[in-house]
Parts: sequence; C-alpha cells; structure tokens
Amino acid sequence: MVSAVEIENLKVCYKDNCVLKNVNMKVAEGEFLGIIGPNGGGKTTLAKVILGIKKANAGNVLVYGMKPEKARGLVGYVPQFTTFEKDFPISVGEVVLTGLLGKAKPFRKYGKKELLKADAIMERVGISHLKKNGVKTLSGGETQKMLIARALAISPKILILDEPTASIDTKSKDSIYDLLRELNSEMTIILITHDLGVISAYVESIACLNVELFYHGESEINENIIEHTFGCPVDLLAHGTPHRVLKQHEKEGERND
Amino acid sequence: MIEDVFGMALTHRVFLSAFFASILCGIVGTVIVEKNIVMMSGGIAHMVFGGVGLGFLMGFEPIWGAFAFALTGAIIMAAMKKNDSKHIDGTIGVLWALGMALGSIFIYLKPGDPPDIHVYLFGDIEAIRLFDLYPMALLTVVTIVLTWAYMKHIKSYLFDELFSNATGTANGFFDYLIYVFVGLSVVVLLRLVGIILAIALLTIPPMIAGRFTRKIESTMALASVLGLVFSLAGMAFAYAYELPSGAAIILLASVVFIATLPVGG
Repeated sequence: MVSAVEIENLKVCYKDNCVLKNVNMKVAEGEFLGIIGPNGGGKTTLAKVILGIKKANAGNVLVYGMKPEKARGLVGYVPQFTTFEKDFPISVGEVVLTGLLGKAKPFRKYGKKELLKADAIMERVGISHLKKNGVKTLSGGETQKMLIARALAISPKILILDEPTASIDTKSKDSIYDLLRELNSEMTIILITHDLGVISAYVESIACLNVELFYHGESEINENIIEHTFGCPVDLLAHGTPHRVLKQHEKEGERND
Repeated sequence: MIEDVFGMALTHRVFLSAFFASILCGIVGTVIVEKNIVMMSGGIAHMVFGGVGLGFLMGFEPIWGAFAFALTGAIIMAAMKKNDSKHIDGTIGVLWALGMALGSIFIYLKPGDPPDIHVYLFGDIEAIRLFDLYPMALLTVVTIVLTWAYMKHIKSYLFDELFSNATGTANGFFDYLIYVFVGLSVVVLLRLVGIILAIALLTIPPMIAGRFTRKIESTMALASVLGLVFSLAGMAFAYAYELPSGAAIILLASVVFIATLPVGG
C-alpha cells in the first residue's frame, strides 16, 4: 500500500542555512502522527515541503506516491496562528469557502453544492452559529475550528496542523483534539506541536524533528530512544503515554559537518 | 468657484483625475495596508523619481521613465519577498534613496534651466494635462475589473497567503501583480499629490475606512469615497488659503485620520 507521506533524505535550505537535512519519514495512511521539536527545528518548513510550497534542495518527497505540487488537493493545512491576518475583515463563512477556491479562475462563484458543503463542515466542527461573524471577533478555539473547517473544505486525505493549540485554553484544546481524533477515522493526521501535555494523550506516534528526522513507522516501537533524541524531552518519553515514540536517526559516522 | 479661476477645462481635468486617483487608491491602497507593505510601496514610489529624471535628461516624457522605474522597482520588491531576502527593510531604504539620488543626478546633468521637479515631488493640479488622464483612466478600469474578477482569491491571499499558496489559489504571480499595481498607481498619482505624498493618499483612506467596515469590498469602496472627499476638499482648501494642493490634500486626510482614531473598531 502506498504511504500517505514518504520522505527520503530530504534537505531544505534557505540560502546557506539548512533547516532540514537527513529527514526520512514514512507516514502510513490513517496514522495520527505528532511531530515535536524545538523552535527553529524546521517543523513548519517540513509542512511547507509536504504542501508543495517549499522546494526541496535534495531528496524525495512523495504524497500518495505523487510529487507534492501534484497532490495539493489531498493535503489540508491548518497554519500557525502567527501566519494569517487575524484582523482581516472577513467572515467565518467566507474563510471556510476559500478552502474550495482552488486555482485562480476569474469571476469565480461558489455553486450551491459548495455552499452546502461549507455549511455541513461548519456544522460538523461546531461553528455554524459563527458563520456570519467576523474573524476578528472569534476566540482562539473558534478561530482554530474555523481553520480546520477551511482545511476540511478541500476534502483532504491528509490533514497537517501546525501548532493548533498554541494560544487557546484547555477546554478548547480538548474539544479540538476530540475533533481531530474523530477526523482521524477518515484521514491521516500530522500534528506539529510543542504542546507535549496534550500530544502524549492523543497521538499514536511521535517523531522528533530537530533539523534531522528519522521516522519509519512500525519498526521503531520499543527502541531505546533517549540517547540520540535531540529535542525530544526525556520526561515525555519516560511517561510512555504514546503508544509509540520514535527515535531519531542513529548517527554513527554520518555527521561530518 | 474653482472654475472661475482655472477655467472649465482644467476643472474637469482636475475633477476627473481626483476621481480616478481616489478609486485607484481605495483599491490598491487597501491591499497595501492589509498586506503591510507600506514601506515597500514607499520604496517603489521614490524609485519613480529616478525615471522622471531620466526622462528629463534624455528628452522623453518623464512619465514613461516613471513607469519604467516603477515596474523595475515593483519586480525587485516582489523578487526580494519571494526569495526571503535578508534585510528586506534595509534594502528598501537603499532603493528608496537610490531612486531619489539618480533622479537628482539625471536632472543636474541636463544642460540648460533646471525643470520644475516640484510638480513631481509634491504634485500640482494645475499641471494636470489631458494626456495624464488616459493612463489614469485605463489603470483605474483595469484595476476595478481585475479586483472584481478575482475578489475571492484576493481575499484568500490577503487573509492567509500561505494557505492560498498551498491550495494553488495564489502563487508568486500574485505578489508581482500587486507590486506592479502599486508602482503604476504611484505614477498616475504624480500630478495630483506627487511622489512624496502618494503613499499617504494610498494608505490614509483605507486605514480610516477599515475601522468602519467589516468587509474588504466595503473598505475599498469607502476608502475610494474618502479619497475623493479629501482630494476635492483639500483642493478647495488649498485654493481658499493659497496653499499647495497636494500638501493640502494630505494634511486634510491626516487630520481626519488622527481625529477619527478613537472612533470605530
């Protein structure tokens, strides 16, 4: 069976600064993977590569066996809170619909089906009552649900969330993670976060990203991870709450730089 | 009252140019403000002076030089942004000053009496020619049609550029298009408010309008109306007190901006 995401020896640099190298990972369909790691560890860049908006300098990236640029319709993205304009005058309903826009066609009108689909998604994530409200007026949790709804509008097979609970209260967090768990029955979920408390209770598996990453699904279960884990906090690993915690790449003799 | 002095034809020209400029500023300015690219737009505006100077030196219509420099500036800005260049803000400052320096040198090198560059820096409505109105009208119409045609995509892009890139709704082309329109707008604003004041007419009306509107279309529309009110009232004010028109327009707009700061969301 083809993997949802398969990455081999990925290297991504901004000018001389390589934020990702030796990244290897294989995400099976239907998985709920958490990617943790320190700030500047390349987490968001990894998301951008999978989304096809950042080109790899080296290595292979396949999304359902396709190049990321070709697989755009398969990946839904929920961005970090800092990347969009919270003050922009736009209604919740309009934002969710932008998930359906697709390529820039002039005089694009939303069809009846599309409008109904957006309504159904808003109903599902529990923000129907906010449809006409401005984005400005939303709480953190409501904003997050709106962004999830927008990502769901493209009917993705993979949902990537970047720090989805960074600025919201515990109660909203729980309801968002419950929603994600439910969505996981229909799609693969990749969750990028440093919110360790919650991640350990919800995700099936964890990969640690600090510039480098080695994650190969099932084979890594029960490995002794602590020694080579950069950025993967020891206390989290010691709790052992996740079903599997994946170690970073063994680096014998690999690091010359 | 104005027509008594300037004569009918000039009044028409002035009114039309204020009308076009206001719509243009309302739409393009709203994008500039929402996208937080005021510095970049200012940089493009000041680079235009280099083109004006080149026109004087080489003996062609300075407006064409202005267009050429505006387009070059726009493409440089968009490329810097696309490549995540280092010190973008600082580089804009360099280009900003470079444009002005080139303009000054070109004009200095031109033999004979120095031309009246004041018109280009601060605008002068009495200098508005019928010839200036054509590019203005054309750009205004193109801007309205494109904005209308791609309103949903523009919204998606302005709200969340990353997402609109990821879904293929917007791409690098959008950036180039926006900067090009900023550059073209500055050029057609030359006669009305000049290079130095253009950025104010682009940004003040949308900033005021944004506080009283909840949809970007309404922001653009209200900003256009405000721009027209400021332009006409500013010109009347300038006429009444014998002040330079461009400066009077911006002064009025700024006063209203500050006065309305405590009001609206």
